[in-house]
Amino acid sequence: MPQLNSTLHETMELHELLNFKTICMTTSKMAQGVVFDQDLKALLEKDVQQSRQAITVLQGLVIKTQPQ
Amino acid sequence: MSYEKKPINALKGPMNNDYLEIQNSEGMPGLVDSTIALNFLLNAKSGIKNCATALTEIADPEARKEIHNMLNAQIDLHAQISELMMNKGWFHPYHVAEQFKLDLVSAQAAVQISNMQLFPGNTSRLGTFATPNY
Repeated sequence: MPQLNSTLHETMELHELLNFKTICMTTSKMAQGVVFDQDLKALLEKDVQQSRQAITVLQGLVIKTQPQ
Repeated sequence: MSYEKKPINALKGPMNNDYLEIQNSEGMPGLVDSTIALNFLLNAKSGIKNCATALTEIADPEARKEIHNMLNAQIDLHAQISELMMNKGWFHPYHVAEQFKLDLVSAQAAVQISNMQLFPGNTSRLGTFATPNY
């Protein structure tokens, strides 16, 4: 497996970002069912799409930098 | 839609506890949307701060590049959210007095909601879900 030059605390930082993104995406997805305003809903959906990409990237980075 | 012009401060007088009475739901769409938009805005702000903090801690070029892209996307999104909130009258960054009035009213509305019995009774719905291990 290709290893990045990463220390433990860098991995932890990525891990924290991953958790934050996961919660944000869930919140935005949930809020879409509650809002009345369709412009706001469109922005929430945009956030979900962005977060999903970010989560995919972060998953890759966290796996790659995991201390063996 | 006219409710967009009448956000939280359109609420007249103290909120009535009878939330099932349709008449008492006046101004509710604006109240809901502005609250969720504010939550969304704060989340976006935290995201930007978290990305920036992570960037100061990470040395690896590949990870830095990815987080840099994430940070830029987040900043754009934050700008869009605040613009939308300004257009809808939920956010007045250039009008502090108006913002204070709005925030005080919405805090009051939130306190009143917190005093309501919104979910009476037992909320454990385990019987309606597939939960063989409970």
